[in-house]
Amino acid sequence: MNTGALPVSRRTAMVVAILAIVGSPARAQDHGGRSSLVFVENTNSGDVSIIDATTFRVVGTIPVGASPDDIVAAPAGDVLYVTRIVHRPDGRPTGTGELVAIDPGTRQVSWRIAFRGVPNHLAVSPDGHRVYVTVVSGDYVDVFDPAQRALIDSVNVGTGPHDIEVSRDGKTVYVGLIRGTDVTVFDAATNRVLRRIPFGANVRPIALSHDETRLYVQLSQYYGFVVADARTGKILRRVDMPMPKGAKTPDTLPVTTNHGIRITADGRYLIANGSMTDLIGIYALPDLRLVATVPVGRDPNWVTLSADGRRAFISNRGSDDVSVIDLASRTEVARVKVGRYPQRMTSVALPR
Amino acid sequence: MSSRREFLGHAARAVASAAAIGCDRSHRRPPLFESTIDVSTLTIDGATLVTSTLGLDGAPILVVRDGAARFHALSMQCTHEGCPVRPPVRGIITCPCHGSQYDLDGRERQGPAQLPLARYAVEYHRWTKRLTLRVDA
Repeated sequence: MNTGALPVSRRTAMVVAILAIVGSPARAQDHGGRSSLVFVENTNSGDVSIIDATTFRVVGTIPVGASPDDIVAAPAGDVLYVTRIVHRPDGRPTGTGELVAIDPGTRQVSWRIAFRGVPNHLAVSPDGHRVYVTVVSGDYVDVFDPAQRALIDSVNVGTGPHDIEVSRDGKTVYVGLIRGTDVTVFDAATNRVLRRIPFGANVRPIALSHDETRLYVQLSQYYGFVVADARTGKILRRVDMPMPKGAKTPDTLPVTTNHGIRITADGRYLIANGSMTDLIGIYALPDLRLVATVPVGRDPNWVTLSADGRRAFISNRGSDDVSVIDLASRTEVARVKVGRYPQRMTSVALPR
Repeated sequence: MSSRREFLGHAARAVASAAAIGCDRSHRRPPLFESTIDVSTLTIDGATLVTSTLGLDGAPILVVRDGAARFHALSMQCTHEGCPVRPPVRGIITCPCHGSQYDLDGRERQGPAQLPLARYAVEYHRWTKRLTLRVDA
């Protein structure tokens, strides 16, 4: 196993600080006059934990209702959007969802929109004028105008849209199909499908390179990720993730083998979760050289970066905590206890 | 005379019975959901169909033949996140999203789902090869 240049042992991971939830708000330190916060969606406790990205303490909790599924900040950092899967009292899904807007300054829910279909992930256009929500029970992406607080269009992208990402120029939207095997690409101006990129297996989280030339894709029952040319759709590489020392790849892989993949703000590294093995791989771009594997909590599910880009936050939904990874030393520097079943996260720098 | 008395007695009991039945019917709440569908295409055990009309939960209904006059009718909505499940393969119903599995009675046999699929009561009409699906109030 290639553990890279700066491997971190399990023992080291065990001695990192385990930070308990604290009731008293600790003030985030000044970063250019702004507070760096990470908002963590907790699916089973129906709330959002707020982590100070400097002190690694939980400084607040926002109730949103049961089963939030994703959380994304508007690029300006003035709104957080949460998708929520609505359930009946008996625990079964209703087949409907909610888009919830939160003011991160007041930490209050601003508004909610109910809609048909079960939502999964969401993305916000760079200008903040559109919110795209994947409807996994259907075959479309709902397009919301947050100014009108209205659903304004639905884009038919194929069966079971799941993760979604908007290109940095806001012109193109990439949608992975969890019940299909494609990434569907549509034009954000016309909402028309431009092309479909086949991956041969159910598509899980995706990451688009900053220059929109590469698409990094996790798949169901594959312990690794696939690299495609985002424009031509050509599959370029399959990258197997490293197994922990002494472990062998099982014959049968869980459906959710890996979940969570992200490119760092400087575009130099790709961070991929090994959800099955409780580790992350850090890969140097563009050659995808593995430079570190870092053990984290149980069942890592998402990757987000601090506003200053120096740290990665990994949500561990199996151990109800968040691992904080220092990207310079490539070590876990803290583990923060949050709500129950933390999944998706988003990072915001707020004015002090 | 006795025959007339017997007749009147029978008649009175019949009226009373009819009244009782009528009374029962008037008090029985209508089902929450009821639909009768054609299952004549399900000619062999293991054959399945998915209804075009939606069930009580807004999801299509998966109907599986499991014997000459034995059928299962289940919501296709996975109880984990609501993805539509796939028709059974060798008696196992699988959700394509996260891999939850159920048996033909809708019981969960593998997570992440924690609840069984919603079931519909079934009544098979042998001569017309139709199946009534029902959820009682």
